[in-house]
Amino acid sequence: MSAMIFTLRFQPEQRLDLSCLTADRLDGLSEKEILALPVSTTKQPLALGELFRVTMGEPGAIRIQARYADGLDNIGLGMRRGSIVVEGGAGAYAGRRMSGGSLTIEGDVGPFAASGMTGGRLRVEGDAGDFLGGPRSGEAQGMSGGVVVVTGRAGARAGDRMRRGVIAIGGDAGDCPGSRMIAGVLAVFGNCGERPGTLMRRGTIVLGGEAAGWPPTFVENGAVELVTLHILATELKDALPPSHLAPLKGRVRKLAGDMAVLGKGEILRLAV
Amino acid sequence: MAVRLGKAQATAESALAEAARILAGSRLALLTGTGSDVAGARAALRLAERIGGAVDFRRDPALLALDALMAERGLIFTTPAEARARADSLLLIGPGVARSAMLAQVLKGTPLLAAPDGAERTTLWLCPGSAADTLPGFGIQDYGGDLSAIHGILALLNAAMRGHPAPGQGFGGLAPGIFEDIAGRLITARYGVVAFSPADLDALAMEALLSFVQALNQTTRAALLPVSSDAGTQTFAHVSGWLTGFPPRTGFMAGAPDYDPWRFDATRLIECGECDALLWLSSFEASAPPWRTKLPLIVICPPGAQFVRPPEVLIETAIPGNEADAEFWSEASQSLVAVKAAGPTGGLTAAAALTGILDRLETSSR
Amino acid sequence: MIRLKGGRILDPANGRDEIGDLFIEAGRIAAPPPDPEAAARSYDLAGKIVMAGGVAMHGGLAGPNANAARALMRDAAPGTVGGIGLAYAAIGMTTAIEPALIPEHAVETHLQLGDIPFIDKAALALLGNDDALLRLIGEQHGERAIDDFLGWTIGQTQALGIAAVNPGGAAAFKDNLRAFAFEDVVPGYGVSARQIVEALIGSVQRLGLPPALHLECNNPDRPGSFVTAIEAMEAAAGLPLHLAQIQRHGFGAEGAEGFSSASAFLAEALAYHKNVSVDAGPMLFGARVALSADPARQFERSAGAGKWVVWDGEGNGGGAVPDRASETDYRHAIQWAVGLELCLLIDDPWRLALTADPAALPQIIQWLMDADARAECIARLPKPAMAMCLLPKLDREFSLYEIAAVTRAAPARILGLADRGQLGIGAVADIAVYGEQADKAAMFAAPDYVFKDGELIVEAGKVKASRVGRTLRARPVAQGQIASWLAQHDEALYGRAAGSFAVPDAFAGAESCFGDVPCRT
Repeated sequence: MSAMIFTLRFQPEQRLDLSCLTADRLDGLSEKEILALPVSTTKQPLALGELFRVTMGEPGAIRIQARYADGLDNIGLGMRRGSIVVEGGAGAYAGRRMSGGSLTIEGDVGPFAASGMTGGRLRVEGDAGDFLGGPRSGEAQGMSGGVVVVTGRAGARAGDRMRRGVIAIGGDAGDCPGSRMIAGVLAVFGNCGERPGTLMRRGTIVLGGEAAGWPPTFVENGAVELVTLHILATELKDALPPSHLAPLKGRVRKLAGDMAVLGKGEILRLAV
Repeated sequence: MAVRLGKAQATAESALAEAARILAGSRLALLTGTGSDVAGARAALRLAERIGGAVDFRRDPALLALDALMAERGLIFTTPAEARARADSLLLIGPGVARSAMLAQVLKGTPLLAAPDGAERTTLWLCPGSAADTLPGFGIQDYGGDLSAIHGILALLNAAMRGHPAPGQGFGGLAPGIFEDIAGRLITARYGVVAFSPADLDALAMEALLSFVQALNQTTRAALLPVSSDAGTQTFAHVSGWLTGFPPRTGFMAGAPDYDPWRFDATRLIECGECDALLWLSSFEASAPPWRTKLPLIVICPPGAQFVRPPEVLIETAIPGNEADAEFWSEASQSLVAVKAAGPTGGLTAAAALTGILDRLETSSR
Repeated sequence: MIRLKGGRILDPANGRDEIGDLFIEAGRIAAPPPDPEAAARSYDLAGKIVMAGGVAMHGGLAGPNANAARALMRDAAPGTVGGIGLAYAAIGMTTAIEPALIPEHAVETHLQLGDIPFIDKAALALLGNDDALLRLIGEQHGERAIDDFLGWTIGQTQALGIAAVNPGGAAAFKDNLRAFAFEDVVPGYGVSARQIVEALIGSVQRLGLPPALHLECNNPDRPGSFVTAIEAMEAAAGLPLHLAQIQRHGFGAEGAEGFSSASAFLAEALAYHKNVSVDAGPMLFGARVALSADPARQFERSAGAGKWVVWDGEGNGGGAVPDRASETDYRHAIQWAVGLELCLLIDDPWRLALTADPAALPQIIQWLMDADARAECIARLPKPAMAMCLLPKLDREFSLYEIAAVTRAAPARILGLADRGQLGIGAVADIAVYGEQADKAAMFAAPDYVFKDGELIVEAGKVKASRVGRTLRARPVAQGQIASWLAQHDEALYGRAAGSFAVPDAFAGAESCFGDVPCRT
């Protein structure tokens, strides 16, 4: 069965809420009903069909063609199954609260991608904004399952309050990656900004490059080779280049922290 | 108090009608500013709801961070009056606390409740910066410390209090042993209070402080005392909380409030060109929007504001508590108080102006 | 004039359970006119149940602790004042009480109450952990000074009455005492909970405040908590006393887990102490936010909670702690059972006010009226827990008449609101009309009509008219002699003017929202 294709005809004047473009929401809708779906984020009403051309197909395989567009928010919000591919970038909240299926963004994503994600796979082939996998302001829960791969860079606070799952960032990360982590794995293969692991309780941060500054409350814990990192390398082998993953199979330097709080987390530094 | 349309003097009636016209024609109007009294905030929220606008009265991102901390992790705190009467150990963090007159009120008192016969208060100051001399005469022990290193300093303080391993050398301009010293004083205090100005700290630093005080309370008593003096924004946050369930930043496009501090950040909305009209509400001070923008602008504030370009609509209003009776956030008590006008002028209040705009929207939609 | 025709009128305050008509004029229940057919508007209520508007005694409506709960609920569905008013009105409750107004936050509390739509409200001012009262008792300033202080507090805070929550215990918590029993003494004052309670009961009585002291006893939720409640009853020595949230004091220490139902002891003591009334709020299972003006108890609750707010005020303070009551949890099962047991064991409905969140009340009414519905729930709960409870053995089922008593007549009488909770001539025309159904939860969740002050506000679940009710307050006659003592006290201790938290008769730009309730004579 062929994909259902949504082609953006022109850059809209307002941000769009594209949370309607998931298999669950589109299943069983006629073309007419789909074109009438509301996507406005202001009081000015806007139907999907005013902006997008639709090629009907299987809602379990959605393609969004929107090169050069920005402000396309909530793509894959709460998605549970199927696949969504965005030919172009996504705005805020891509893959937020997704629990299954796969979401691929061929360009950049805005802040709060994979926010509160519980399952499924998000792949970003450009850069990600701040709070990748993190909670929205005022929420208690970060990401608690699933796999996120960003081949480019990520903004500040990636993996904030993460509880479970894997986030892998091929490039650099901003300040405070892994802040307040509770568990799970955050791997940054490039460099990162200030204070990785601030207030982390448990969990694992893998750091390939350097940090711009370290919290003083991580303590040296020796060099080790870890089976869990071999498993991680296997899990990511189709997602990131081998040159990124090779150091996972060697010895790593372990820092324990954050001793400011529980102190049962670790930062593993590759290429000892 | 003047009413203007552009450069021209105008009647209140014509200004209210013009403001209503601008807002009614907007796709996404932004209501922002330095805030208002309770009645003004209430009226602004009703207006935002009516026009499907966005609301951001958090000009200080630090207050937003404190508020998010309360939602995400909770808080353990006390009031200025209780801190004055009871805290036998007071830890000040950062220079910003000195900007608040409230802190001097706390320091002036004797902690009569700390012990049956009263007690001496020990006051410690971390990272006072150049503010160190601004509170003379209270016997404050100045530890020094570099505010830009506050995260590491608070991390070491937490580790010292918990007895966790950490490097023993100094940090952030503080000598070795200082962290253990401060932690020890708070552990042995009867009632310790940690005062800070949110403006000095970011979200993670405030969370580190919360974590510190939460852990202290496992064995002794301690509380945070956030010192914030922004009457207009604090008032707005309270009123917004009870009326909508959320503090700003919120949007009302879909009717029900959408709380999204990222999306409804006034600066972001303006820089990204997502809003098409701007209402600036600043009841306590004559101030103009800090952005250079061509958006149609409605300003409601006391006389005296300087504008780069005259607003489309300017409605000058009476200052709450000064020229008109009002309820608003009191820095001294960190609560809402009712204040009789010192010199009532009978001038238009912000609430009356906003309600006037709302009334005209209602009339024109009929 | 409006005529409510042919409904079954359940009005315990006037001893009525009969088919009949009610007439409304000028917001009040009116005498039948010579020609009933001449009424401008008539509702045919044949087959319907007609009760007075409900009176919710213990609401948790407004103030800093409600704010804290709202913040912690931000990622769920935080409440609003509009939602509170609608929730009460939608189930036919037309008056609700904020039972713990913190004096320093009186202005905000009243601003919020004022913004609650549809219903009438009132607040009880919280004392008993504040330095002034503890000092007045400890330094033996005498009854007159205490009376003046209470009268002054009522005046400043525009309250209907006085409440105390964990008297002495919140103050002692600031001195790191984690538990506080009835005879324990607050460090620095030499004053026990008993002395505080006795002083407040006596003073409230002498001032003639409409409600008796509204007391949440010390050491709630703990094994053996029933003892504290009984000590408080004895301390009242025959004077009127209201024990709030009595279900939190129905626990013994029996059984393997050291936690059991002691509701039989409490009910027996209540049968004996006829001067004591109670309110009981049986709980529901599921997510909840515990809201309280007792920082000591809130801190104890916070163990294991992911996020929580606790704060110390000049007097009480408080906090909010979200958690989940689970059907598989031994303690939660016992807590659930004890709430219902107490309602079923207290045989004088005039001294029992049923109080709960409006979303929970219909379900609780069903459990009280329907033993089978209780049995269904009991079957899902841990058997060892149920073995430590009486509930499985209780077969009493409340009648509609008794429900009308415990949700209307009794709370109104306990609060001293003579013209509410009843349908006699001259009463406020707050009326709820229900269609009789076997499923009592469904019946009480969706009245056919709700009238407030004679105006139809809800019909079949739809809002018909929005309105803003009044805030009820008392105006006791008190001598002002305490003012100069307080001025010195607040200046020296807190560095503030006494009464800096005073609530004006009208807020800026608004008409006064207050309605006066006469004191008892």
